[in-house]
Amino acid sequence: MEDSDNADDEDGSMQNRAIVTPGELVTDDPVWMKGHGTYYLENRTYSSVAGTVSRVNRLLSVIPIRGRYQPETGDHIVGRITEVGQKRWKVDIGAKQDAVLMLGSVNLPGGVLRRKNEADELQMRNFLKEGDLLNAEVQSLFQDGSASLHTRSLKYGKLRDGVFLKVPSSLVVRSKYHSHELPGGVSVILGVNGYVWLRKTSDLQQQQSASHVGKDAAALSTRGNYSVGNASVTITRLEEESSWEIYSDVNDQISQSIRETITRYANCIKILAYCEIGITLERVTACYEASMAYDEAGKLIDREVMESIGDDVITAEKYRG
Amino acid sequence: MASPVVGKKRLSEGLTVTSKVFVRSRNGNASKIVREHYLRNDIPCLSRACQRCGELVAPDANGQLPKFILSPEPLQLKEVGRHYVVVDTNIILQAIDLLENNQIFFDVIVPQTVLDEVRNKSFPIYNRIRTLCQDNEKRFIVFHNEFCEETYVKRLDSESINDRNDRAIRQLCTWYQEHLQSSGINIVLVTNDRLNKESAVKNNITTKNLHEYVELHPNCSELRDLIPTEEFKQREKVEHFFENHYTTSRILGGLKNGTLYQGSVNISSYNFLEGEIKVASLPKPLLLIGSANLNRAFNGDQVVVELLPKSQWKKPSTMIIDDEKLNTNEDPNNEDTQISDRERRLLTQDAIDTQNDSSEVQPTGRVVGIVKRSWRLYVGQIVQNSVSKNTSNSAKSCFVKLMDRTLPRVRIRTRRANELLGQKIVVAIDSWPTTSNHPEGHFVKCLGESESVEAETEALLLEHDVEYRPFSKSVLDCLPPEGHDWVVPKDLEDAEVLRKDPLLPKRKDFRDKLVCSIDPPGCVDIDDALHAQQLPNGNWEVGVHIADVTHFVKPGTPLDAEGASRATSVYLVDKRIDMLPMLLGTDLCSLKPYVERFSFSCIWELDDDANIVNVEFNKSIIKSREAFSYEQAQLRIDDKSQQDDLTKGMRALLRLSKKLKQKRLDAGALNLASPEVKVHMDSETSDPGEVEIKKLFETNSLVEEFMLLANISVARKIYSEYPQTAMLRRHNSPPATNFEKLNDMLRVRKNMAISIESSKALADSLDRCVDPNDEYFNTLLRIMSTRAMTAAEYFSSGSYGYPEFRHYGLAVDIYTHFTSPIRRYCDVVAHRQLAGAIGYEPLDLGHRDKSKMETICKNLNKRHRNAQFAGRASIEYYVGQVMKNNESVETGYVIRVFSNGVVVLVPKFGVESLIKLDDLTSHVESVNFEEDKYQLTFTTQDGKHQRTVAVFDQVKVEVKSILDQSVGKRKAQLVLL
Amino acid sequence: MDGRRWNELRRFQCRINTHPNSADGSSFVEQGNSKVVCIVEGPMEPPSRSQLSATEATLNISLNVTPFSSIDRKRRNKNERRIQEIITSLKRTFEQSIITDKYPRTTISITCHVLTLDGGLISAVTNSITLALIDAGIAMYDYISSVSAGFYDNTPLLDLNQLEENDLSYLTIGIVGKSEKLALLILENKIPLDKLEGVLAIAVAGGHRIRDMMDKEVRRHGELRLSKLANK
Repeated sequence: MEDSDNADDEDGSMQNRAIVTPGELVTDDPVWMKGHGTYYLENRTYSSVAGTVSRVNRLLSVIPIRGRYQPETGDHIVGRITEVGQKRWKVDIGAKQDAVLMLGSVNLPGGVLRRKNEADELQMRNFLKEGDLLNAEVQSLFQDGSASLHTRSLKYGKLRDGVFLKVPSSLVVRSKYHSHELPGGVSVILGVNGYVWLRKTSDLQQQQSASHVGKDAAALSTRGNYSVGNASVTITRLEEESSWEIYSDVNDQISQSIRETITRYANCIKILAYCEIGITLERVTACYEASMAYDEAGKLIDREVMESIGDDVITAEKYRG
Repeated sequence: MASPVVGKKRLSEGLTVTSKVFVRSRNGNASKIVREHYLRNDIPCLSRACQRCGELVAPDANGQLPKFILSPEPLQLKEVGRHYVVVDTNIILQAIDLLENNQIFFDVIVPQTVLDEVRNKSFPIYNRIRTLCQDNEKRFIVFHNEFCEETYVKRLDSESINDRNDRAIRQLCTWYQEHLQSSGINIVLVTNDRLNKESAVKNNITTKNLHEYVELHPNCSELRDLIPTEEFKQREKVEHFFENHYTTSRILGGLKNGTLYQGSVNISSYNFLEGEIKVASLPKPLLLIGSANLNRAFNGDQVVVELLPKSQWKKPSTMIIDDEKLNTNEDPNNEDTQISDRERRLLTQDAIDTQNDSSEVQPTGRVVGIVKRSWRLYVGQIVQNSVSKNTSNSAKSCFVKLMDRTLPRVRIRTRRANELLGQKIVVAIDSWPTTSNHPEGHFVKCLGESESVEAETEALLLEHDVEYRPFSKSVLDCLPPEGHDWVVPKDLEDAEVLRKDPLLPKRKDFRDKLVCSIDPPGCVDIDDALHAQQLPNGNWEVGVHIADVTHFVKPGTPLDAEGASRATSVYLVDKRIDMLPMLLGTDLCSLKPYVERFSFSCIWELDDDANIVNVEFNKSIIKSREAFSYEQAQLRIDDKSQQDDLTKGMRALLRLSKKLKQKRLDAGALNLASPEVKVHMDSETSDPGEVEIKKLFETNSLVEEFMLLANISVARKIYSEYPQTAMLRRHNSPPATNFEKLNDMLRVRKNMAISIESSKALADSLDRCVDPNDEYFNTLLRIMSTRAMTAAEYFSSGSYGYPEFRHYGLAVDIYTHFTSPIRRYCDVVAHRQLAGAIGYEPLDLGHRDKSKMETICKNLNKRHRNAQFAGRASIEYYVGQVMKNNESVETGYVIRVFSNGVVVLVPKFGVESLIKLDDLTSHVESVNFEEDKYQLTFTTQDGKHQRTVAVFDQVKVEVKSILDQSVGKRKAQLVLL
Repeated sequence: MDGRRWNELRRFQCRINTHPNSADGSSFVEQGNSKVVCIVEGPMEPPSRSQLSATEATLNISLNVTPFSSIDRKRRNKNERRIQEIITSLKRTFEQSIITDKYPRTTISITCHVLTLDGGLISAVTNSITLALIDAGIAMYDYISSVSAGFYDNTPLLDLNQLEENDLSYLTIGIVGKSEKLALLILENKIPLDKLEGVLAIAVAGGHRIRDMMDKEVRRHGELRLSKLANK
């Protein structure tokens, strides 16, 4: 969440970071336009939430201290399918309403750019079914604030080989990249919506273009069922196979050590969330390092441990400047 | 049962909260209860000597500040100096009379701990101490030590609750001592508890026990006897006369599973060893026979009983048993079982008698626990024989025979037994241990010479629990400040007047109506006045105007509280105990002639046949033209020469009232009778002159009819407005069982019957029962029927369903009392409710609350009954005085026959008395009692004649008055001739 | 009485954001010995379409009075009439005060657990819901602070405990912010009309004090969050 850095300081009586609570008079000056978190009664603007006042030009809004994730275009998010519908999936992204993922905005096996046909519609459940997790990007916003997603990039798509975590969305700092590889063969997707996916760094990621042999029977059989109508010649077989793979339901073999590392990372993120520290790659890494002082990842959920590690991370950061 | 305090939390405003945790057992399960308990440091000490607490006071919800009551210059005594007194629970419980005494105990601090304990132990005493605390004269205060931070004490692990409370009291003493150190006032803790005293001394608290404290007073000798008996030293030979009562848990369990029954004991007035208890689940009352089964229960106690096996079921005894016959043992220090032997013999014989005829046996029971004692102050007299002749000045035991014959004698200890012989004294009962044959009590006060008018009057007032003390200052303060000069404002529009009484414009001005009042001669509290005038359409406008008492008696004032607690004025032969202060009753409220008065008017439009066309209620202003006595009114109506409008109106009223009466009788209203007599007083010597049966005029019935009409109309109105809480009066139809015996007597002796199916049937059948040879017989029968009736009672409409509102005697479906607010509190309530119903002023909360109304009704009923009893007792006393002077032979009627005596009623004096067989015959063996024929055959004293006496027989009796030495009560003695 | 003056509140304590990881908004309110936890989820996609309203948010309230909350352990039926009535009136109250048209096609689900009950059930629940909603960042017009008040003899009494509630007639009100507007008024038995005003007056005063205490807690919590956010 942004601080009210942009707050207009003209109004001297308003302290920059003052907290307003519902029902509190924000201003009685009618020149302000009322924005989010305010309401307007008899020429006066009141706050409707507890939060900080933000003033952008003439727009006055109150940003709640806590609240559900509000999607914005371009956000990299992690979501969970809640419903499979006609030509679309409904995705829980932790916002007020479920986001929509149109059939047209996913990569389908058989080529990125091919047209979606009726057969695809019938098979939607084969691609993504209820409960599946995926990472995606907010493509656009509807009138009522709900989001439309797309996964039209190889870095988006179905998630597996890992664990899911939920942190307050306000803690995930928007940045350029939200998908990171972490030391120890683990990668993380820090969804802007506060949903986090930790997984084994996949072989695919490691050797993007290398030939891949260890395909699962399931993937093959799925492909076998798939009657290719208009397979594009421009797409190599390898790409096609990997495309199919992105919808596989079966996890790779994950070694014990990687599992433990994932757990440790998961707990590290929980620590950051517990201490209400913004979650960034650097901090996760720093936290991970600090956590190495405890040999069992399970110990990390002790309150005292969490607090001490959280403090460590902050102080270390300050030390570095 | 408690183990308080988990932790303390400090709140911001100098408040601390702790929680009280205690374990309560309910139905055998223990449950833990946590309650919050707030401690504060801003509780004022309420001493006027204190400078600091003045700032602490906070107003209550009505914006009133607590008053500082404790005197800055309290009583100074030799050992303790200027001091305030702190009392503990037992002192209050035992010596409440002493605390109320006007010579001792000023500036008393009652700790809240103590108050709570008192409330748990005895609610009446709690009420008395509360009254004391509200009454500023004796300067009693309650200090809320449990809520004060400095005086709150935690219960320690090993401490019992009593020990904790004692410690809390000590803590309070210490606090006060420190608090008031600068003003040089000491604190004296008065306690009889030895352990408490010892600990208090350790904490440097001046402590006295009650004796020591009383001794400090210069006038201690008078007060000494008032100190209640302390626990007797254990006698060496502990003999148990009674079985222990069951434990509380056993009683509760038993009540729950239905093996035990609860009810209030009603001791037979002919046999003090036999009681009855009405149990809801059984059709017939349970009999409690013999002192062992009564097990220390007093008349009126709430007790728990257990059924006896069927083999022990009995018929109610037909024998008269009197305490004095049995109690041959007169040495109060020596408990002896002789008595019960004789008692037993009598009872066994009785049992054998009744066993033969098992059809009428009643279930019997025995008392296993006493829930609530009905103990109050009792009036009695010391039994002469029980006082030892030893004249040393030490306290001695003696017996007190109470006036109420249903009660056993009480043992008291006093130093002044010899002085008090022949005096009426008031005693309080302290306890009745199982080891004693008699309850233990202590002397409270002396009323004076037995048989003196003052002592007798006071005794009977006390005995009937009638409050007769003058009105307290706080009550009198509620009266209008103008006193007797108060007048109805001249100019009703005057701004000043309106400011004082904003409701004035709502009053109707009826000053032009020709109103008059008709009352008994010499009546000064005139409740009601009437008027009638013909309307243009030929109908009659009839108005009943009732004194507007509620204009002066506002709810919530001490005056109102006093009225509510007195509930009714009590009329004795020579004295009237007013419900409201004289100023109101006989002047400001009284609808005196020739002056303007506020009234509450009920105006009907009646057609020529006295049917109600319309009715209206208004607060009003009237001016009575004349106050008649019944006789005067009758003369005026009959006097043909009087043709003024007022007389015409009265004639119309009379005519209408006759129609009303006829309608009422047609509907089945009963015309019952009671042997009412009036005692004429010699105006000079105020000695009672002669006894006369009340005379009735037509005008009596005139007033009565319109009062009934007003009451009924008002009852309907308030019931429609307040269906849950309207103050009404009902009269249950008598239970058939009550008439069984009477009907049986009638059948056997006179071959007549009365029907009780409805009041109409009863009225008709009563009319039929006429003995041509004996014109009084019908009246006698009516008297006896009246006794078989249930008493009418006040109730609030929420307590019963509409069909049960019926007033049996008057044969109306709904009834209330509205017309005598000066002398009945019920009417005051009805007035307020009616004022609320017509939108005159909002009704006070207390009269809209069901439970509060029930409390009011309960008290009204009790007081009403007591007042009747007191009135009768007074008449009885005076009749006795009259008879003392003139013994005569009169006609009497036998109304009840026992195996060893008969009860005779003498209509001339309205007295009834028992004639014991022992006085009739010495040949006990020759007595033949035929129960089924209600007759008793015996040989007369001289042994010559055989004589038979039966119910309804007319007999000649010699009436004289004798003094019962032991009770000091003069009663009519009848001798059969 | 338990040592309070007629116009004193019981101990009031509240915390918000008690369950940060499992709910959008949560609160814990202690009013004397009554303790209530409230959890707010949403606004979110409704579990079933039928509840959906195209223009505003729908409110789901569930109230769980735990069997161990009162002195005698008795299991209460969730569908008990009284509970249902309370829920209905709470729903109406909060539908008014939440700016529901800001959240079309969503559901806000509110769950209250009464841990211990010592009088003031409705008021404690109302206060906890207000706090939890604020914690969830849901737009509301104003605080709804609630308190009960009763009437004994001639004295109005504020914030009754169970013992007092059992014997007295009392009402519970919900006040909108610092105003004297009532969002909720529940009177389960009778109070005479002419006394009502006095009772209401102290209840309003008490409600304002509760509002201030809640506001303080919200601000305290807000400061805390902001100071942590500074660490980003």
